[in-house]
Amino acid sequence: MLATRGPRGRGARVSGRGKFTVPFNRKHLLGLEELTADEITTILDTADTFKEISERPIKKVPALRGKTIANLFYEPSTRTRISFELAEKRLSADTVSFSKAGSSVAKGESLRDTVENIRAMKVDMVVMRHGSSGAHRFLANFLDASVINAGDGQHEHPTQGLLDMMTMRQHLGSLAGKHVTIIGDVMHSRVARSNIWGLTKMGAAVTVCGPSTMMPAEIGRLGEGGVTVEYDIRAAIAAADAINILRIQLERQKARLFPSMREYFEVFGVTPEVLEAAPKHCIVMHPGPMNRGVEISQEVADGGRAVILEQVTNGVAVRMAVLFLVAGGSFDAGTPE
Amino acid sequence: MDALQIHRTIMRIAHEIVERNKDVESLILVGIQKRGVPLAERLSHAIGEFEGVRVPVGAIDITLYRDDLQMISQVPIVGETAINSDITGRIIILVDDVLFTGRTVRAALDELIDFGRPSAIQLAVLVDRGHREFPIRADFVGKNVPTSPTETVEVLLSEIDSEELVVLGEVVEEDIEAPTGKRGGSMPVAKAKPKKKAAKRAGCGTKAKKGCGKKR
Repeated sequence: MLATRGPRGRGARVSGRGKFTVPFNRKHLLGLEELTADEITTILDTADTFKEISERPIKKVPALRGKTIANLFYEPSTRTRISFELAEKRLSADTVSFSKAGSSVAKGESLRDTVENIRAMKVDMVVMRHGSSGAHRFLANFLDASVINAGDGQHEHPTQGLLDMMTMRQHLGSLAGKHVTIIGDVMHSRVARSNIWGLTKMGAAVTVCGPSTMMPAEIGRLGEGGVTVEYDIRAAIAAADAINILRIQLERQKARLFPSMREYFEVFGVTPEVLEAAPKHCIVMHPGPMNRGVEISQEVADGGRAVILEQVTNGVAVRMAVLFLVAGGSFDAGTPE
Repeated sequence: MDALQIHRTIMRIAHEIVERNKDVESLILVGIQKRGVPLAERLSHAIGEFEGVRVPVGAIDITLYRDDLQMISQVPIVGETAINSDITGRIIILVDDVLFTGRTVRAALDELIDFGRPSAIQLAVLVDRGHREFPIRADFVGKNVPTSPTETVEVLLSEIDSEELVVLGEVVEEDIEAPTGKRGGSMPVAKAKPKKKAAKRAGCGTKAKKGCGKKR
């Protein structure tokens, strides 16, 4: 009996003899909105196989050997940046990281100039996080290199959406027909938007819940088929297979979007008592970093239903998959999407 | 080769493996994805039957170690790699269906030694079709099939395909997709169409071929 430890749900895509390619031919990953369900499935399946690499004695494969990847982080990030760096190194790529502080940007260099300089150094791929929505599309239009979005403004954070879906898939089987509730500051959240696009494309039903001051007016129409808007947390999670809790940024409280942290926790905080309204198998997710005692209680954060650390492990695998697929797809690149 | 010949050949290889390696307990069979894996399983089963020793089976996917990753035009599917025992100090029997240029085996060797330091690696293949591009040879061979560069050899196994057969075919020009090399690296991407010689087939028509033994 073959001792296996491996991905689920790949059977349908095993190709016929003589055909061994996957449906993924994009030069950039700018968001989940433009991806098809097949492409998302391809990324998730590939990520499942890449997860095993991080468990080997030598956590490295030569797939991207000789490729140079520049990480440009215009916004602070520890978790995403390290996750990308690990993913790149485990694929044997050469990485260069650039963060805003103490760099030429502090001296006033524009985004375009910074990138033109990096381009002159013949970089193959750029992973960027930037505070302006759409910055990546701007970049993709004039760079030869592939562009991977690590978060742009309030627009999308596609690799987070993908790792969230990968985690859900592992616990729930497939995503079609499942119910996912996203709780928190939906208005300012690129994680929420990527989740909504990815999940609705894969056939899941999404509910968003949060204070009305942080809920965009037209959010119900986002995604493929729209999402349900709910302001009562217990009603929002009554049928949930997974709950994704968004981080409340403390600056929003200063902007008077809610009265106090305490009150937010009272009404929208996820506590063990609130979780009783959800189905028993429901998993709890959080993109991190957590504000314990604000959007999530200590007990839930450390409790059995939270899969937050798995999300981090999956994050490296998903990013490896994205880098591998985008690097491979670049040969067929036409105009940027 | 038909199903019965394949079975007998596998039995013979299993015996040869045991004959060559006194210490059966130290063996690990590792199949190369995809079709090397069921072959490794069958070998382990056979050895278990006449030796009474259960030889562990692993699988490796060599896609990420291919030497043509930067050149092929589309991304290949990455299969599962699962080696659940420590390979250091053990004897690995690498198993694959067809040995051709030897590039796949080179990739497999590089990948294996990233898992540990085996005391030896031996190679077992069902078919050796010649045309080596690297100094690689098999220790255990099911059948030697001399071929020309324009021919293909495909092994069909019931675990993966709907039948059990070894087919000799001919490369169809318009199906070649890879931009470099005769066939874009170690894996022939062309569809095979059966030559008249392959009337060794028991029946007609897998999805790739229409009609029996007709040259197109």
